This record gives sequence, C-alpha cells and structure tokens, in this order.
Amino acid sequence: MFCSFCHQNDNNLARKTSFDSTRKDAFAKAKAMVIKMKDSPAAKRHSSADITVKKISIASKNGLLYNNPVLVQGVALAPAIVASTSLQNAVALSIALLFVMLPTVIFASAVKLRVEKWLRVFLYAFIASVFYMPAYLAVVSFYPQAKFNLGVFLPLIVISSVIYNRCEKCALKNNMAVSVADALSNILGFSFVLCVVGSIREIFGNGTLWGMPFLIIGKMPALLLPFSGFILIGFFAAFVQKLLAKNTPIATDTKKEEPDA
Amino acid sequence: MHNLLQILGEFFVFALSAIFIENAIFSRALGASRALALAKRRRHIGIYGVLLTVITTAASFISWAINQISIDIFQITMLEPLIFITSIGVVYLVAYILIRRLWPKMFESIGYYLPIATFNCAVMGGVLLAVHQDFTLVQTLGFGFGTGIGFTLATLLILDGLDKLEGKKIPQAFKGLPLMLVYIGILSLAIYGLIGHQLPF
Repeated sequence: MFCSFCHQNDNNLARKTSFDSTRKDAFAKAKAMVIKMKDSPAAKRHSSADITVKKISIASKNGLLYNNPVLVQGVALAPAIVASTSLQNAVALSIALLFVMLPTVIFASAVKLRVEKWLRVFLYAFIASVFYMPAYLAVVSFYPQAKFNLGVFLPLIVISSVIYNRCEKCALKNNMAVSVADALSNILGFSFVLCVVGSIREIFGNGTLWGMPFLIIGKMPALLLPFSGFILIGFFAAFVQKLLAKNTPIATDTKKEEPDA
Repeated sequence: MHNLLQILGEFFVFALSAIFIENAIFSRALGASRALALAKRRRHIGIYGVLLTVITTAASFISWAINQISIDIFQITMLEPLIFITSIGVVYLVAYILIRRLWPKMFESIGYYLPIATFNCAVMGGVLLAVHQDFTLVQTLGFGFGTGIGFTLATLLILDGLDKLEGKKIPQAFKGLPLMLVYIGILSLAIYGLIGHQLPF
C-alpha cells in the first residue's frame, strides 16, 4: 500500500503492475486510486490531523530558540530588560505572563477575524487585564514583595507586545491547539531568557540567588541598572543569532518575520 | 498672571524631565520593542508620535480624575490594569470615532497606527508612573505629554543609529537586533550618567 498523500511510491506501484498491463494503464489506475482515497472523508480527516500535529510540533519548538520572543523577535523587552534583576522577579513575571497570555490567545483563536481589528486589540488588553487578578494572587502567594520590587512592570505585562504579536500572527490563522502550543512555547522562551538574565544579574550584581547569599566574588551593582540589561540582552541575542546562523534553514525563515510596529 | 506662569513652568519642568531624564525608552525601556519595530518604518514615526502623545496626555488626565474620585480603588493592586486599560480604552474609542467622523481622509493613513499607538507599554507606563508617584493635575499632564515626546525623540535617535550601524565591518552575529540593543544600552548608560541614581519604578 502506498501513501496517497506524499506520492512517493507512485512509481514503484506502476512498475509492479506493468507485468500484467501496460504502463499507461497502471498510471491511470494509480491516479484513480489516489483520487478516490483523497476524496474519502477518512483520508481528509487523516490529512488535516496530520497537518495539525505537524504544526503543533513546529509551534512548540519555535518559541524556545528559533523564534524566541525576546532574543529574536525583540518583543516584551521592557520586563526583560529593566525588571529582570533577580531570579524571583523573573519567575514572578513568567508566571504572570502564563496566567495572562493563555486566555487571551484562546480568545483570539476562538473569535478569529469575526471582530474588527480596532476592537480586537482593545479586547486583548481587556481580557489580559481581567486575568491579571488571578495572576497577581498567584505571584504574591510565593513572592510577597512583588509589588515593590517589580513596580509598574508587573501590571505592564498586560499589554506586553508578545501577547499582541502572538494573537495577531499565530492565533488568528490557526486553530486553538496550535495557537496554545505556540503561546506556551513563547512563554517558555520568555521565562528561560528572564531566568538566565535574572540569575546572572542577581549573582553578580547583588551576591544572592533567590534571596539567599550565593557565590560572592564581588558585587557589581551596575548590573542591576537598565543599561546593563540592554547590553546583556543584546549580547545574548547576538549569541542566539550566531547559533542560528549555523543551522540556517529554519533561522533564515524566522529572521525575516519582523515584529509588527 | 503670576499663577499661570507658575503652572506653565511646572508643566514644562515635568515635561522636560519626562523627555530627557526619565525618558520612556532609555531609562525604563517602556515601549522599546515597539520603538525598534517602528524605526524600520521611518515615514510613520511622526504620525505615531503625535498619536501617542495625545493619547498619553488624555489617558493620564482620566486616570488622575479616577484617582481623585476614589483613592481606595488603587489600594487594590489587582484591579490596577483593569482600571487603566478601561480609561485608555475610553480615550481610544473617543479618538477613533472623532477621527473617523471628522477627518475620514486622515483616518485612512492613521487607522492602522491608532490601535498600536494606544495599547503600548509607553502609554500605560506613563499613566501608571504618574499615579504611583501621586502627581498633581499639572504634573500628571506634563509627565504624560513628556512621555509621548520623549518616546518619539528616542525613536528618532534609534533610527539614526539604524542608519549608521549598517556596515560590512559589523560581525554577522551582531547585525540587526543585537547591535541595536547594545546601542540603546550605551545611550541609556549616558543618560544614567546624567541622573546618577536609579529611578523608581
């Protein structure tokens, strides 16, 4: 039995059947078979499910490195640069993003283009700010100083451009499973970058990790300032770009995808 | 007359501090991602800047008014974004309807930029900072106005860097986003040298 969707074994089948009939006939038979199988509802279901699984597997990998929200897409820079001064801050921001982003993306993939753009953008922010309440409670439950250490950056996660970008670029075009996988991978990529940058800045800038004294070589308080965040993230982005330049095929595709203004 | 001058002076002091010292992008990275994306569409920086300035000023006025009416709401930190998004949304709705009704020709060019200029970290960050620091009405308006102008000027500065930082001598790994981030970081260091201490956030 050959696969009717990839057409790879078409020729083999033709060769086998050419024993009892001419080649032309064999091809005609094979073609008819392909058409028959393509039209059957089972095959259609099979193929669409296949595509969805493929899309999910691509989407769930993309956000981690190839299309990392902070390092490659260049979105959600404000929390990544200024507020990632400690590991606790990084984890708090990631959890807040998880709580806020998932419902928004689900909403976006549910309504698709039925709502006009000018209203849609407001609704993203509104839904995110409604789900900010459980997010805030979750963050405060393990990190009570969040309000003072994160300042305006915790509420600002609500209109972070990573949410807008993922809703407009992925959730509007794909079904719910793909867009949720995409959102989860983006959140993971975001939290990975924040945790790495946050722990580096906390260890070398403050001499602590998760609030405990850790590996005190000598403090560099300048690491806690915004400008060092810019430069650190810049160097990390360069590192990722170097890494992606070696595995070109996916990297070139993702690099062309620039964030919407 | 003397009073008016004093009020004007206060307004411009806060606007100037928001433009240069507390610049949205260089000192707090508010809206940095939008600014980086916007710098590539150089023609539209002006439109975007005007929209952002007007909306920030109006939204900070509304949130100041809400803050005056009931200060208790802001004690509940959970509700903060909901209130701010609603007040920004009201300004957005009014601006949308006004522009669409009064200047339909202008709407064609602005329509695309209005939503992304409104729901922006710089707008909400400016409004939030003004409320967190308990500014008066004049100070709030000045701060909001300055945030918008500061964002626009910073974007122009980034555009300037974008033009100059395209050469063959630049290593492949740093081309594009990484180098722009390092460039903004160095500018931010310069502004930090001007202030000398970390700003509250």
